[in-house]
Amino acid sequence: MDRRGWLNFIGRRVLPAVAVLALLAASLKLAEQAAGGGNEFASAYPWVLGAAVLALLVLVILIAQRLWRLRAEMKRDAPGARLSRRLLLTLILLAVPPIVVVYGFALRFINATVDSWFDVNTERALDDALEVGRIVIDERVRKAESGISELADELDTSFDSTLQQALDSRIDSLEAIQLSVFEPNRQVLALASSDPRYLEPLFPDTSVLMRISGEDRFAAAEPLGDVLMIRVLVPIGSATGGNKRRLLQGLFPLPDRLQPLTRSIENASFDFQRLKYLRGSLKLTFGLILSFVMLLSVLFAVLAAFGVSRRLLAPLGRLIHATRAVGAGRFDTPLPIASNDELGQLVNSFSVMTREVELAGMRAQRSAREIDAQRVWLGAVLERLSAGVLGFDNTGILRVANRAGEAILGVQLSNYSGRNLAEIKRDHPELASIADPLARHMREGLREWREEIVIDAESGRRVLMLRGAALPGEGGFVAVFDDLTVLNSAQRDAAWGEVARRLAHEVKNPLTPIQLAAERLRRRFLGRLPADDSELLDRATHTIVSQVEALKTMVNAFGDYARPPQLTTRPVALHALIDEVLDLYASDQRLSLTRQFMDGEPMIKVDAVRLRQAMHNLLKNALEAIGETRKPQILVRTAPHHDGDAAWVDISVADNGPGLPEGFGDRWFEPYISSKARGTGLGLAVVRKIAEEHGGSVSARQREGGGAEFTLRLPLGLNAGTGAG
Amino acid sequence: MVSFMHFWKRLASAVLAMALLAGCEAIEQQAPGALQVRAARIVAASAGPRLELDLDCRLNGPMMDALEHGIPITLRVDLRAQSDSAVLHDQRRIELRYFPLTRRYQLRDHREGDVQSFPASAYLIDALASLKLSLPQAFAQLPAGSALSLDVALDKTALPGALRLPALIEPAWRLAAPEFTWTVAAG
Repeated sequence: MDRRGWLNFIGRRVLPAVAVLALLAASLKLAEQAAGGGNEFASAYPWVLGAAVLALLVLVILIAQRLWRLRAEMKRDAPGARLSRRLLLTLILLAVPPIVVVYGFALRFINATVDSWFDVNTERALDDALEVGRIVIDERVRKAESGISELADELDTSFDSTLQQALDSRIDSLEAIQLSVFEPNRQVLALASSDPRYLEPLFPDTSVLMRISGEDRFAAAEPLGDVLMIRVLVPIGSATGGNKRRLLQGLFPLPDRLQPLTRSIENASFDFQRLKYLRGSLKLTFGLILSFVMLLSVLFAVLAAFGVSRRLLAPLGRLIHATRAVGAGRFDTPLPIASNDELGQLVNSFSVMTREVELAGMRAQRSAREIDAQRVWLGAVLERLSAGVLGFDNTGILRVANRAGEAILGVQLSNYSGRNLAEIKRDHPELASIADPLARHMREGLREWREEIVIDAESGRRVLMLRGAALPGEGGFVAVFDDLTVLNSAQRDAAWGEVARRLAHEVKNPLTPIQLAAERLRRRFLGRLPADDSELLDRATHTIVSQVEALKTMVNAFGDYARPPQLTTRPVALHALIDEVLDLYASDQRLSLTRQFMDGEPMIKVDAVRLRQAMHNLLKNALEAIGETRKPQILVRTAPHHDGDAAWVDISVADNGPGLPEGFGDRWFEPYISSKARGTGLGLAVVRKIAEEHGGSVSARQREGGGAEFTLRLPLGLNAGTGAG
Repeated sequence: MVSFMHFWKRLASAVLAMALLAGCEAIEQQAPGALQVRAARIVAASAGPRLELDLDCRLNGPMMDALEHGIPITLRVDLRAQSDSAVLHDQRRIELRYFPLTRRYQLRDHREGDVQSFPASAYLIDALASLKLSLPQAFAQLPAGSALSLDVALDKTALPGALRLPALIEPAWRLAAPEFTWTVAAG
């Protein structure tokens, strides 16, 4: 503890206690003086009383201040305030009643004790003794008065010269200690003394002289110094003519045996009477001192109770504050210093608990972060999976659906998170073929299962491979499905490519010799044979040549389809290229060819030859679709398209033909799928292949008001569309 | 609950009013005595300077009762003189006392030991009107115009211990004369 701490400790703890102890000691001293007399601290009474009142006032103010503070703390629900009030009440209840009881008993005891001092018989005995003393003294006074009166009569007729002799002769017979005659002006005429201590005349005072002038004599016993003396004063002679007379004074001591007895009687009676008179004051004094001591003790006890409760509960209040702070997640809140008692154990336990909670919280946070990271990672994985993934909890509620799943099924499944399969099925009946088996397998509780299903999504008929598994414990179920449609298409594309290459290699090579052989036969034998045979030969060779040409055309088409994508891309002015292609068809007077190009000249990086072929194929497809339509119309237009950050250009070829056949889908862009009797079925397949080689796509839709519209979407911009080249 | 509170309030009010009345009556009964300095002068006597004092003293009931029961009543006389050259102070105690055996009242100057005896309290009180108290020689040399002040009051420290505390509180034990001042006359 530093110097300031010591001073604070002395000022706040030691001094008040010392002051209270000093006041209590002073009160005890006052009580002792009240009971037994003594005059040492008589002048200190006002100071002690003032200090006591001041101490009481200070204590009352301190207690009021602490009560006010406690009330404020309770109002704002400060930690430990209610407990402090309870403890305070308990301490006060423990401390105050005993003090009050002791006070009551002490007061009663003092009153009873003081009253017991005054016994009636004692008082009567003392009064009687006093009366006896008075009678004895009165008898002595009368005797002395009688003797002095006789002497005064004798002296009345004596000469002044004989006064001294008369006194000397009578002093022994009268048993006086001093006889004197003096003038009214105090001039001593004669004085006789039987005791050397009384050689000086003891003149009567004014009051005595007044008594003599009124009653013509004075006789009384009065204390002279330490002894009781009878003084008798009688005028000599009769009063005539208003002249003041000489006075004869006689002093008579009480007998030696009587002196201490009368003094003792007087003192005893006096003491008793004094005590009797002081009885009330004594009770009041004791009552006041006791009340002061009681009040001081009670108030000090209450103040001490405040201190004790604050000292006891301060760590608890800080602990409550700390618990609230820890509850709010502030683990760095300082805890009260642990003492070596139960409260200290509580603080230590709380400290340990706080550390453990903090560690647990950190572990939980780390786990949560790891879980979040796992979730993000899993989400990223799920989002990058080409297979669709659906996660259900054990009650069949959808919890997870990845983007591939949404793309395959054509439904925004994230909107159905937290909903069950029945609701999804109700909103999207086309998903019944996946919802039903999912629900069935979840009901059956199979650990793993797989099933191939077909759904009719908005994007067309899709074949899915659906696999499911029950997660461990109560983890729910997960379903994974792959779009076999794309896989099948790729497989078919690969197969057709192989067929095309074989055709190009195996079929195209013999066609030329066949054609040449047919033409040689025609030249050698046409005209040499009879007319009927020549005609037959002509028809046959012509058929062979034309069919070989047709076969060549078909084989070339297959060759085009199967040709490896070796693109030679360069920036091309799109509208100019389309114009060049369309110009080839403009000569057809029957056809109405309309162009609707977007503003400007979009430059795209493509293989111009391949794009030109795609445009030809689309236009041929349109012309074949128009067929015998009376007013055939073809609309070619370009339009920009934006998908996120990617910019595209759509090249659409629309016709007013019969429109797309029923059930048109992605498969119609596969080789050898055609609705036309004479088509090779490779036109649209080639278009799709060219589109995909350039990183684009092709799609078809039914036009409103009739006809079909095929759209080739290519990346816009010089850096795009490099495709596989 | 409300009526209960009303009852307690009325009871407390009644008790308070009764206590107030009782207090007023007690104060009435404990009216303080009266003490006044009617005249005072310093006389140069052959034995030395002397203070001649005329006190108008009326002891009240409790004081007279105390006197009759043997409690000495002591008056403290404080004389202060201030001149240009000196400040003088003299304190005297005059004791009034009763002796039951001889039924005599005594007036006693503690310092000088002078004792006057009276057969009745009236004589004792009357004697206070003509007190003669000897003074130190320095008071004889006070120059003319010196200021003198006199305080006479009951000496509570001389009361018995049991009476000192009540005397500080009870009005009956307040006995003090207003300060009396005069100046030393020329010649």
